[in-house]
Amino acid sequence: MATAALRQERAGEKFAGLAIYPRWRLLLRTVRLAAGQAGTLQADFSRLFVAGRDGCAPNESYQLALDPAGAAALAAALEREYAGEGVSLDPAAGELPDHVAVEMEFVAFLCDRERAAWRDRREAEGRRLLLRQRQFLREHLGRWVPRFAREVQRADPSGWYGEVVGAAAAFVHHDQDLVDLLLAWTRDPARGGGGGE
Amino acid sequence: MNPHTARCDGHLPVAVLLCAHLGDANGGLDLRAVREGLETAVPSVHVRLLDDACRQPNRVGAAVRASGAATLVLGLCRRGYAAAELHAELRKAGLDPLGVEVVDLGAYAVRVHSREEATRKARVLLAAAAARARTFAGARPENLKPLLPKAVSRRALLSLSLLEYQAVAAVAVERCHAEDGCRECLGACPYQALSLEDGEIRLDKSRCTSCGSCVTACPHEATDLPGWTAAQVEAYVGALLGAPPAELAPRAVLVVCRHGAAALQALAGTGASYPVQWLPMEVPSLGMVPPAWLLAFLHLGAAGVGVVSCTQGCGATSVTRIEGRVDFCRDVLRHAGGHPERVVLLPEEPSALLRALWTTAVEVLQVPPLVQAPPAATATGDPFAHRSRARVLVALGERLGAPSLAIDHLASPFGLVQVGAGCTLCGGCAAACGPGALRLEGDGEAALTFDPALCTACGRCIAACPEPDTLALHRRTDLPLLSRGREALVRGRYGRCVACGGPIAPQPMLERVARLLAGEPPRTLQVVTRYCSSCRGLAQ
Repeated sequence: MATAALRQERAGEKFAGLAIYPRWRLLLRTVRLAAGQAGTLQADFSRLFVAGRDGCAPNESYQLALDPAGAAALAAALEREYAGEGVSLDPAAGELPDHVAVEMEFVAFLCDRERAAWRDRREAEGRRLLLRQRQFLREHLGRWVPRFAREVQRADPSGWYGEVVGAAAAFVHHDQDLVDLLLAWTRDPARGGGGGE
Repeated sequence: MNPHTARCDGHLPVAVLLCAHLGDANGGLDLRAVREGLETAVPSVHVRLLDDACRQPNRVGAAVRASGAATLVLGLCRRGYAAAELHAELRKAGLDPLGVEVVDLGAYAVRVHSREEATRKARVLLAAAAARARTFAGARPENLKPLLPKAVSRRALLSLSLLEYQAVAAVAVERCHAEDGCRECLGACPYQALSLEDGEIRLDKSRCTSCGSCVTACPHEATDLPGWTAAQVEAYVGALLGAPPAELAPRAVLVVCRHGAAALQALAGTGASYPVQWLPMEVPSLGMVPPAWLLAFLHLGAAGVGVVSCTQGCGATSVTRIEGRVDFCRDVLRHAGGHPERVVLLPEEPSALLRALWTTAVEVLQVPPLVQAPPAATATGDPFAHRSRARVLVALGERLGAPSLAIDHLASPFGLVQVGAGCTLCGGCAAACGPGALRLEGDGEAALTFDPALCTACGRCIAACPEPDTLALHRRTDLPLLSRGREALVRGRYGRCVACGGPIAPQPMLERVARLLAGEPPRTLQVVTRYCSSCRGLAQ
């Protein structure tokens, strides 16, 4: 993990044009410095995310304080959203659909497909996928990850997970801004966009 | 040791990079004098000249890395540098571009003053920029608005290799009092960029123009715009009015928004000159400048304050606001015997502005400053913070020998709430008061208290009061009342439950209820006014 982080850190100057770059670099440094601290990290992970004593469960339903019925409805809605794009959770992995890693991976999946659409000049599909990302970021990650980050940073103010989750929240915010920017650009006929939201 | 956190003598190291073209012959700066002056006056500063710094951002990044500085001031000959490239270089060097100060020494010094005057002014402007850069506390993702590059291919855009970013205001949820009914920022935003969603204030970045109006309107200092925290403004103004050389005196602050800055650039382009004592302070918009700031400049040693008017870009509301604010400051000075002409609104049209800069300078700069030596920091304590606005006015009133000054003015930043006999102590006004000026307090006795220093005259208390003609609000600045702080407007004992002894409601409210229920059966009145809500079941 440390070696991969170092490699990313060295190669990453191409992202210096993005405001998220300093946070990303700090994150990589944090990851690199974590090498050899597996025991501490494991204990912190259990304290923060598993035992739930510190209120840091990395799930949307928990952070939005949904009751069991609300949580079930959210899970069903998320699974429908995933299925709508042709993906589903692996039952063997035992993952919850509202887990932060699952939701972020879904946006990454949409982004990857969007990239392929632009590459293949399927512009309508590119815009559709941008709209899907915006909707998902606004309705899910953007609503609860900032709160989640505040909780983790409160419980782990100088720790590894506080930095990691803080970087994730910053990334989600920045990604929302970028998706909005790209959508504005693709809507602008003067710039070659075709509109159609 | 990490160079970005290293401190010298307790001060964050600052690199000042000056474009070498600023020293060109024919009226350029004496760059050696600038460097030596800064290095003597500003602790932990590292001044370096860079060839063609205005056009080659990669040189800036390398110079920052070589200096090991934690923050940066750029003194350039002109604006219009490639911001996206420069910002990328700064990020690679470990700096946050939003914390970097850029001073247009071409327009503000070199092209409008003699070599000697321009050199003095450049030292002051760079010292002020360094002081502000040092107090930059960092920006959050919420403070960033990516912008479409002005000219870019689709391929380049979608690869997002270079973006420009604009600093925007952001609300710190943990300090925001939206849940308590505060809506000051919503009312202050001329662009409807702020809204209330799920109990939190949200910013629509696509509407935000970074005018800063919400920042200075927030009574809880929960809204921030990088570059414009109270600490940064204090650091900037303190150095602007206090940094050497002493020969540059007296000094007057020239407040300009982006459009006013363009007017000054246009003047510089014509070869015109104006008195060197006018020291520009570029603000995001005039709408963000409260009257307490204008008076704080005088309190900190400025001989005068010029505000370059703006009729473009900020909306009519802000223009009206700033005209009223300037008039309010003049009214304060007039009533306190302190030369109202010290605060002046100047025209934005360049030739009219030039004439006004000369004629006003005669009036302003020939009158000794109100304050010969800046007051000690403890006496002013955060003079640009919202919570300090009353303190600034009270201190200024005392300095002018007018501690009992009281004026009514439509642009008074303070309101005065008065309560008539009909108040039932229901607390509706206090619940609606976002700034917290009105409070319903007390255990044994209910008290509606009011602190005029916190009142912004928003008028929501009037709208919330259910009793007609009971609450009145005047736009009034009353220094003795501001000094006294919180006082009770109405007091009333709690009516006690005859069953459990607990409080039912304030006695004036029970009396009001009794009047309302006068036509009802006596038993109903007895139950409602003698029993608390928990014990009413026992009574029936």
